[in-house]
Amino acid sequence: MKALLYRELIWFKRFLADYIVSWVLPSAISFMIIYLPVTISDVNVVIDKFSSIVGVRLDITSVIIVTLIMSSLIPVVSVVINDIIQTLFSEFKFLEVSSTILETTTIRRYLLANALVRPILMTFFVTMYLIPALTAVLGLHGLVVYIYIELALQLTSMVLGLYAALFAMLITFYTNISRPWSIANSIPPAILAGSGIYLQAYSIPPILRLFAQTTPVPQAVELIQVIALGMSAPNITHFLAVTAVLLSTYLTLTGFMGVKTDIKVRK
Amino acid sequence: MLRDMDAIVVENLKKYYIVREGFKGRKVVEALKGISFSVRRGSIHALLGPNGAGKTTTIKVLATLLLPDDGKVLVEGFDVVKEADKVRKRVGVALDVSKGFYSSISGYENLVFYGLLKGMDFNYAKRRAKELLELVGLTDAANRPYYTYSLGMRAKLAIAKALLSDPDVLLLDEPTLGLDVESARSVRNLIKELSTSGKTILITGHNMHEIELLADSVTIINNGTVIASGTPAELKSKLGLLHKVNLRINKDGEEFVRIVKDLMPIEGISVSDLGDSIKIAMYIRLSRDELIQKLFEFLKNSNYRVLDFSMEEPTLEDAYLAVVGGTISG
Repeated sequence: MKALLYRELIWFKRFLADYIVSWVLPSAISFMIIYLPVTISDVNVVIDKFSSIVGVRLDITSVIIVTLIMSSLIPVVSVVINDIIQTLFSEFKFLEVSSTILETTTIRRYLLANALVRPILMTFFVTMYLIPALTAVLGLHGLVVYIYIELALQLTSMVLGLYAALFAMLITFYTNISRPWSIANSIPPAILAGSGIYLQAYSIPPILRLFAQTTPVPQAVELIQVIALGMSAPNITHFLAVTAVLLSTYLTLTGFMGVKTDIKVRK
Repeated sequence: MLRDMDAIVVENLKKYYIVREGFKGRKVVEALKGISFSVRRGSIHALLGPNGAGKTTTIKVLATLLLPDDGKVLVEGFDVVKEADKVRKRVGVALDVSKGFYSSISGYENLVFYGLLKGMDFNYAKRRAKELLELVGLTDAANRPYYTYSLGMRAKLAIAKALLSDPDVLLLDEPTLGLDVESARSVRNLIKELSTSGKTILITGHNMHEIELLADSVTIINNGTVIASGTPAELKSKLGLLHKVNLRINKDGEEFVRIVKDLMPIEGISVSDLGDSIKIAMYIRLSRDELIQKLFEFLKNSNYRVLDFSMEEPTLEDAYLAVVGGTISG
């Protein structure tokens, strides 16, 4: 855990430019989502559309907050999934730091630590831009909203970390795939699209919805919308229940597969 | 049989690999066919053999990176399978010195990360990383990203990593591979110093001159089996390799050759008349002790005056080539 924490902080320092991109992009996306339709139609039409998506009558400030917060899910899902899959693959296939890992610990321990520690840190790093953004729009209340959003995102990212660890294990140790990014890059859009981010649920193909349901992202989208809209007592039971079930399932699966993989790798 | 003085004991170690052949075919490759050897605590033991002999596989089993298929392997008395965690705490490994680190972070950061993975306290890991970078002469490059390191610097960093947790046993797989003369010498000196300080070192390599300089004992493996073992001197002596003797005497070379041929098993001889003296070069298949005793006894009882004398011993390389080439079995 300490080692991964240390490495992640160093990588954050080393790859700060990448993180800046991950702050700028979602901010730009949320701005474009409002600005582009406004330029070709009317601001009221855009507000109406957003109101119909979330099912509540919104004003322009609420639309900005909702898009800003919803956009933070994009880097969270893509960074966690991509990084967990591609880092493990690189460690064992390109960088060949596998001996460093195998001579100090077991695959199971390493994967579990990776799947839990890294998403927490990466989620915090990629959503840092929300602190100034929400404070600018909502004042001090923005900080409270940020804390709620961050907690929901952190829980989601822990499940995503374990979910990605399973894919990472399969790709790295059980297949001959040599371009893992082709898979890693396909999973986040499928999850995000299937989760109803910026879309009404009925318009999403069932197969995508089903795929997204293997993660807590659809529930996170609903919860974040509710928090973003400033509802005082959001119902978090559904989100927590789904997260708990998925977390324990993936924790068990990763642990079990980790033991099997450790034996396989050392064979 | 485990002796207290042995830091490493390998008994009947077997390791198989399954290799894919074509689309569905599979072939079992026997990497190690039941090798046995032991390494005395505080000594440098070399594992020699041609490429594919099973040296790296043996090192990987000792480092717990690979599971053996059969046999018993103990490191500091701990079983590499049943007590892998205890073994990991006691060994330092340098495998393929040209890689094995995160390229985007510095040598210092790589070492601290490794120390933390090994379970060290953060401050201790930082202190040890600094100490070892100084020991291997990388202080100036400590904060440079690993990808900027030369091969020599990478090898030194690999050794620093192996030493980070101050292990009792060091497993070094070809630690000077690809290094320039100066870097190889500094790595060799470091290995010698570490052995003097009481570390047990198992080393592999192809540079026989280097192994001869470093190793207290040697095991030669080929095709997954041990074909010879002992100290370099024992090995050379046991194999009865050729010694080259160069002599310059004052007179009558032909008579000298005739007598010496009756005394010793001479494989080749050349005589050159230098005018005022005779130069003789002989290849004699005899142990060093016997050769010296017989030759000097003869010279003492004869009236030849020896003007010059030199003897070239067979090298470890000669012994290695004789064993691996199959001309002699150890």
